[in-house]
Amino acid sequence: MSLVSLPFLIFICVLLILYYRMDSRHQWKILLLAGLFFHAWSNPYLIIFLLISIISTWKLMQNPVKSHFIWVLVINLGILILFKYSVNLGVKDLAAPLGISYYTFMTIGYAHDVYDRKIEPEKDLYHYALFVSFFPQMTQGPIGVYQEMMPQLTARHSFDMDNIKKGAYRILVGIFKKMVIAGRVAFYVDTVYADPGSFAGLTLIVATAFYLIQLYADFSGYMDIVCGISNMLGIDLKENFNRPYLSKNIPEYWTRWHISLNEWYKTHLFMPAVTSGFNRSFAKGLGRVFKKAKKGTLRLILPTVMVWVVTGIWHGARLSYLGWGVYFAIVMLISFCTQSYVKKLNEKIGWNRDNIFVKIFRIIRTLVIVAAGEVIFRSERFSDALAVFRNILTTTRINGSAVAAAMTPFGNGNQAAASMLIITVLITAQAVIEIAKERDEKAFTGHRYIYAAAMMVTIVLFGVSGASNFMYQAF
Amino acid sequence: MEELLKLLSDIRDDVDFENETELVDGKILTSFDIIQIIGAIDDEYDIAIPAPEIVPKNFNSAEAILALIERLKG
Repeated sequence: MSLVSLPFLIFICVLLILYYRMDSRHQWKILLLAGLFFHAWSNPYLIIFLLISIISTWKLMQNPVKSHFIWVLVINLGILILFKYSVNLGVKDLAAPLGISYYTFMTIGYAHDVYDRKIEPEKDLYHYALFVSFFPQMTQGPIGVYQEMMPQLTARHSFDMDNIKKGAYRILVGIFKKMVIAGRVAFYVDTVYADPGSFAGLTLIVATAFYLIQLYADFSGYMDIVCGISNMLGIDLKENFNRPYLSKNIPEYWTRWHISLNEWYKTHLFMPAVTSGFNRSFAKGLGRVFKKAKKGTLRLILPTVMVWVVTGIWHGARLSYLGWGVYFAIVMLISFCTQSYVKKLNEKIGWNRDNIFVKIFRIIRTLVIVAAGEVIFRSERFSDALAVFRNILTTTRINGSAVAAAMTPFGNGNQAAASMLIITVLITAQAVIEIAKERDEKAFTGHRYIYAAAMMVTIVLFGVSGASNFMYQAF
Repeated sequence: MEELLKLLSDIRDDVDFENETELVDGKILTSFDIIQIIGAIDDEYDIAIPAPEIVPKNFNSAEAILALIERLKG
């Protein structure tokens, strides 16, 4: 059931009525049933794997000894790997249970925290089941953290019209980002990236910029819908994006993009790897070779490479995903290793990091590095990515004919120019509204209806109706 | 304490480790800094800090870090 569809609209309306009509002691039970129904809707048989994960993890972690934790990992990762890489494993292409990546991560996060004695095991199987199957975040996250989610999920929530309005508005913003912005630029990106070698530099630059916009609008739009639905239920989810494209360096970027996944990696993979005995001796060994290296830097090498290779492969068994992971591992390591030198250099040449031009330079530099990584990510074959880089570096001209050529993926002549203009206006409008909202939430609320009406009209006029699948669902 | 403060200011000379009490919660230290601190403590005192101990409350001030070191030593 796509979040942008009629069945879902009916589902959410029925749910809200039951949720607020019911004695508030039972609200969490309604959420649990809704989650299981939502999962079963996508495939009634595959829910068995969700249930296996829930019941086995809950039972094993009641007594959080090492062997039980290992069993949790084997069961959950086993099912995940079976479904995600079935084709590569020589099995036929299996339809995966809905949201398997996301609920597996949540499950392992919970088990790890229990094993580390950070939290007490959940006594109630049904409460635990609700945590794993809370439907808004099931398909694409955010990856919930047990100790943050549980108190909200089981709390009593009384009806508050303000929450409904706030949620509805947020959902509308999400639909707008998805159907209008991501949907429109997708035409352009898909056309160019189907055969990138045949396009000139400027067109490829525009396509790559549009791809960054598409990724953000699609994914953060989905998060807006998810957070909006949760708002309506009186539940606040953690934000998954924090204006990532305004980051000033790559490590910062990864704390502002897909925040819940990166937090998860940090807590459950990176930090354990940093402190592992193997990494400790590896770093000490390297330290004997690189005597001048700053303390601690050598400890980052192995864990960084590992996390990024895993992140790459998590997106699918494809060479360009692996390439993307390795690319960011290298960028991160360069960033870590040069940090102190760059700081000294800045002091020497008198760069003031608070200067607006320095800030803009750093933002653009970060965007270019991110864009280069996403070129690799988007390219179906590795050779396509190389073609994109080659053409951008050798065939980028800025003149009348190059600009005209850059319009053609949108169609011919006036139609293409109009599309380009409309999409630019819409993206700008969206950014302006978001900034207005952040600056003064209260003043903004007064105008909310106007923005809402404008967005509805735009969705009807320019929305791409066939585009109800969200990109990150595939992962 | 003197020794620890020197070790810390070798990693970040722009932070007032003596008085600051929200090093992590106040977002003064990045996770990169924390890993450097962990590495330096290991080199200096031969103490491996296990992952579950890497939580904000253990790194929010020099005092907290010292307490952690002493706890792990003993």
